Amino acid sequence: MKTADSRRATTVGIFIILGLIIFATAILILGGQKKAFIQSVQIKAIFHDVGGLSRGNNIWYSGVKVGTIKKITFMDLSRIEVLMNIDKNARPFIHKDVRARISADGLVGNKIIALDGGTAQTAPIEDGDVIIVEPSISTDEIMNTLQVNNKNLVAITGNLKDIMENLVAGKGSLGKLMKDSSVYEQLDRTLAILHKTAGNTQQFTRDLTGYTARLQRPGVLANDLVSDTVVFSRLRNTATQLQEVATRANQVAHDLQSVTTDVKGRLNSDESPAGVLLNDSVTARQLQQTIRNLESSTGKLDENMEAVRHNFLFRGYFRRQEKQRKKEEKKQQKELQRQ
Amino acid sequence: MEPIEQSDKPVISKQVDGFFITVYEIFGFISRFFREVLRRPFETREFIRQCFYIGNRSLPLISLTGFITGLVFTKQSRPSLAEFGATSWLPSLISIAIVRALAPLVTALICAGRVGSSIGAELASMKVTEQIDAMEVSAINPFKYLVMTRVLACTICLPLLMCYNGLIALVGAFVDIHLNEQTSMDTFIQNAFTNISFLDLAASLVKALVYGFTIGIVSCYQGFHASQGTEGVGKSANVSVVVSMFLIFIEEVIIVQLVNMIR
Repeated sequence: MKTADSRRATTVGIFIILGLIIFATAILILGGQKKAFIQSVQIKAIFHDVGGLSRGNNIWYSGVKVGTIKKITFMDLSRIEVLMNIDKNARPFIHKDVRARISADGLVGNKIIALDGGTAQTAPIEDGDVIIVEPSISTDEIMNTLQVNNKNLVAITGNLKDIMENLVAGKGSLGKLMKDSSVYEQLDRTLAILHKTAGNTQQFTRDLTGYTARLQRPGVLANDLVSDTVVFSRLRNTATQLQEVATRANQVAHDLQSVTTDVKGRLNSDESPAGVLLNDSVTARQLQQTIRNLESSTGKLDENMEAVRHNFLFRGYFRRQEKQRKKEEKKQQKELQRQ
Repeated sequence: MEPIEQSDKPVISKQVDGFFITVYEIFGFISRFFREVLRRPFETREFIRQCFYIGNRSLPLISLTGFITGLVFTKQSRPSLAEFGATSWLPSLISIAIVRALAPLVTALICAGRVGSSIGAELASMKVTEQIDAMEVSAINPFKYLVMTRVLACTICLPLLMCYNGLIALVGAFVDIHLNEQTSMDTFIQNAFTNISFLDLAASLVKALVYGFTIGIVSCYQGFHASQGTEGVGKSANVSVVVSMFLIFIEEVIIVQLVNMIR
């Protein structure tokens, strides 16, 4: 009986101890997660709105949990002091210029305080430090923006509905295009013309491409004009010279005009010889008489010259001349035969 | 219970009187328990025996129930979370449900059924066979020997059974989650305890203590005040279970409200 009792007591003892171990393990795991059994540093941050943050919520630094919210108290009408427990092991990495903001550990997760930034130039945080707070966008603000977007969306869908109704009713350009067959045919024809124009444009572009390719070929005048600096320089010189020539021609033309004017004046005048010849009828008659006299004199001179040729004094001279002429003719004939 | 002398009263009035008298007697029973709990002699051997029967003997049933609870609850919760693509929240959801509500409640209900009926029937049979009267005659305090040991054993064993139940339920949940989501043990533990606070553990512990005490005290009271011979034994066992379960649910509501006020 006693042995049975003692065995029963042992079993009960084991049962109780195991139960206590399970409970203690749960407490330890929970304590580890809540960082309840660690040495911590307490810092503060002052917010205007904590957005539902509560005691025990987590504190993250660069995405790592470094502590929990210890206490949240009102300071005055618009300021809320949040006391945070920060793991002492994380303290060396969190500097005094770190910034705190209210965040969430997921889309619909718990509220947390996210610590960001901090520079190595400043000292690590210490007990009682008040850190800088960074304003964050609250869910309400996001919802307000979404509300505005919703209103815009309603307006847009309303407009779209009107447009679709008009389209269905065949109103407006698009509606007519959909309902009126003549507009469609017109458009079809226009499209055909456009298609043809596009083909022509394509051909034109092809030609232009070929022409451009030829222009780009070295040795072509256009290419030389564009690329050869010597030709261009020469052209510039030529242009300069042409300009000079033109200037001179202009001067010459001007001189000629003055000369012509002068000559014209003189021709019209009775004082100059030409003017006299052109305008004086007496002089003209005299000149006609002189020409007549010259003609008769020339005829008489021809007769005299013929008489001289038959004169024995000059006959030898003319024979020698005749012989000389015949000799030169023969010489020319021989040269022609050789060739 | 003394017979009511005013026999000319209407039936409803008699029942109301009977109810208040019962309430008075229950509170007298409870106050007697607290009066005698720290007084010698301590029936240690009987207490250990009761712990063995209430705690150890309930362990297989509690373990099986816990495992099935965790497994089934996980299976039933998955489709709802899967709709939002949030199956990774299963460990967290299951652990909250188990620690805050299921573990204490399931343990208490199982114990109310198993232990409550057992105590009620045992004490009732002792009562109707006048064993309790015989104990009084032989200078043994039947209240200390029979009631105190059982109530204390229930009050102490139920939180322990709740711990087992919670652990086994979490194991069941882990098995299902591991098979479906290939979640590792470390991740499961991390996620499971993310949303649980010390207050949750403390509240569950208090619940289990209260439920244990309730089961013990109700069953002992029913057994200790059994009448009408062998019929009274069955009635006592039945009433022990029903009243215990009813009170457990009432207490659950009250404790949850109190915890939420503190939270």
